[in-house]
Amino acid sequence: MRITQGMLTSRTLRNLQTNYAGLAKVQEQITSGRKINRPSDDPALARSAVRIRDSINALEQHTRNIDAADRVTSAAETALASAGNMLARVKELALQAANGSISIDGRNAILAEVAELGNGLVSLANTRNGDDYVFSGQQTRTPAYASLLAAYAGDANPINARIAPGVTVQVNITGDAAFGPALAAVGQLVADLTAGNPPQGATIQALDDGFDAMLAQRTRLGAIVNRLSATREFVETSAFTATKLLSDLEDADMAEVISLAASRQATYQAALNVNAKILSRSLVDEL
Amino acid sequence: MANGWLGLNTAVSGLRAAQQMLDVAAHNVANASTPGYSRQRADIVASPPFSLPSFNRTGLPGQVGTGVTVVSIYRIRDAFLDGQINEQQAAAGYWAAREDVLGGIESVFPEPSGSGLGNVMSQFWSAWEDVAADPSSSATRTSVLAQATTLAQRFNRDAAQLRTLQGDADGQVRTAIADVNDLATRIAALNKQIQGVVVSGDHANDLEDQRDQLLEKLNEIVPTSNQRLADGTVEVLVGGTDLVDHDIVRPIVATNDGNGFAVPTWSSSGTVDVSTGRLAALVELRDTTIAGYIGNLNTLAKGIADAVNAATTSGVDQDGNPGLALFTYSAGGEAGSLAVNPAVGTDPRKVVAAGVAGAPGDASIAAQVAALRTSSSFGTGSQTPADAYAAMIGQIGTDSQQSAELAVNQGFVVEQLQTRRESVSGVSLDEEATNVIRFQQAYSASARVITAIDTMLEQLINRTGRVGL
Repeated sequence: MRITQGMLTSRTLRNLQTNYAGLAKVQEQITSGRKINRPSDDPALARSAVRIRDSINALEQHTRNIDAADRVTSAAETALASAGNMLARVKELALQAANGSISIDGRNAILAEVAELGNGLVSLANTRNGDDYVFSGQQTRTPAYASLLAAYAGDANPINARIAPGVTVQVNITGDAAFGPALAAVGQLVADLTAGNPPQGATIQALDDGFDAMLAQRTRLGAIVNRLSATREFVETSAFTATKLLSDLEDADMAEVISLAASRQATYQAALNVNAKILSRSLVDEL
Repeated sequence: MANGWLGLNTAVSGLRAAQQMLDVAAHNVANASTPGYSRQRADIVASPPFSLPSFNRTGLPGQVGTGVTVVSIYRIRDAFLDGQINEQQAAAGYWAAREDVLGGIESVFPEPSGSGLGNVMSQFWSAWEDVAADPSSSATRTSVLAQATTLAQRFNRDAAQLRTLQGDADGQVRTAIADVNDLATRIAALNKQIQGVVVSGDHANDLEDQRDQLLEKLNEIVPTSNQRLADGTVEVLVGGTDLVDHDIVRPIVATNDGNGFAVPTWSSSGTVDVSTGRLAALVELRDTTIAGYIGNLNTLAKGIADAVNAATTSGVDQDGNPGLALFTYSAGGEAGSLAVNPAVGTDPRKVVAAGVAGAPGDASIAAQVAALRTSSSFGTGSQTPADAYAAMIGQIGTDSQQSAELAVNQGFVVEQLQTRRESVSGVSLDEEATNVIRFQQAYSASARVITAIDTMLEQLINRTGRVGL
């Protein structure tokens, strides 16, 4: 093949361009810290990255949803714990009042304390998380019980939380199930005592039933709390795994890229040196 | 012995030939870096020999040469390589145009990153999840409206940018058409000049170089088939129709289609039927590729708007009024026209979270909307919104990557062929330098011969017959 100066210069230019483009590519990867900087760098990977980023967003949202659910359940749990203590005290007072030897004054004192405890239970049944009444079902802006003897003002509808992809869980328990029997029994006790009578056997029984009903709901709430914390662990692990995966997909392997940059730079430098020597000479210089 | 003057003439023809060849070499050296230039050679032959007159040619031997004649000056060019280069230039033009435009499209979608439409969609769904978790809060409701506005504006922006790129491609189609006509006009003008030279029996070397170069440029835009005619002109056909015939040009004109886009049409009638070259690439990008991406974006925007609207209109707002559609759009340009329903505006109470009135804690609709994130009913009908978007990004990435790779490969093919042509036609300075020395020496030698003959004649004229003087 006949070789001319034109061939040499255009080939040189092309090869320098190719080398330089390779150098620019690794330089971009190093400065951005990313393996792919546009979809065409690796379309399949870009496609995965878009989807993984969306699922990370979703998982982070699920964590937030669990946080919100936790606030509801912990408000309810605290309320039920206090209510249990109050109810135990009411039962104790009811048994004292049932003792025939108690004085009128003593019974009135008991009445006063029971009435106060009843109000305490009502305000616990009206516990709020932020502005929302937690025991009113979906009637979150209505107190569950206006007073000890009032009817349940909420509804039986669930408050649901989306805690994991495709997983929805009911996070509330309703006031009529948790507080209804207990409040009714306390109301009955107040009525008995106000009438000047010792508490009826049925009233004492109702107090026990009310306590059991509350305990049953507390147990249910405990199960919900357990489920939330187990799910949180799952969601957080998934989010971590997905974030790691995304980083593996997108982030440049610095050691690899930097050594690649060094070798490409060496090639480029060598090409420049050699070309500078070769291209500047021809027979004309020797004549 | 023959006439002494004959040798003088022979030597002069040597001087002239050497000088002319030196001129050709000088022309070559001067044009060593002229694009499209082919090295030239003087075609020299020995002049017709002279038979010495005699009756029966017995007394004197043979024919005596009369020197050298430059018959013609021709260029060294391989027409077959030119044909191949032209053919590959069309493909190179096609892929280079695609690479260029698709690179621009990629920058509309800054993926993979946290700042693209994908992330905006994600945050829109998350805002609904927050409402689902706390439906009576006006903060979460306000956030949904803000995210809905951001989402709509993002769709608008992306659609507008794609439309701009489509418009740019159309502008480039018009420029390409103008370029074709300009090149055709110049080729026709050269045809006329070359014809004049060829008819008078010479080679129009430099003019042909120029014409070949214009043809190569033309092929980058539209593939042509060329017919070299005996009179030195080239007939240029595009898609089987004459673009240039002798010095006549049939220009391509841009007629507008329904979208106001330029369609390359023959001035007489009929669309220009080409499938490769830059012009074809730009038309395809504008009418198929970018239009396809806009279609994908529209499908996604419409899918999201319809699904969200279906949910919100089945519920009630915070005041218990029947739910309003969250989004509005105009059919056919969904992504570009997507907007938050003005009737909802920025009123957080109009955000529909509940399925029934009178239950402030009811977030069934908000949960339904939030669940659309994982609903496989978008894009092709079996994709989640993120999948549909990811598929679109993947498609853009694949298209762009393929074009970039093929543009590089095709560029390489063309360059290889050009190197081969350069090997045949290019000027080698070493070679020319060598020739210059050769011709210089030939010139000196011929001059020396003249001196010798001169001496001989002097001897004959001035000294002969003067013995003893």
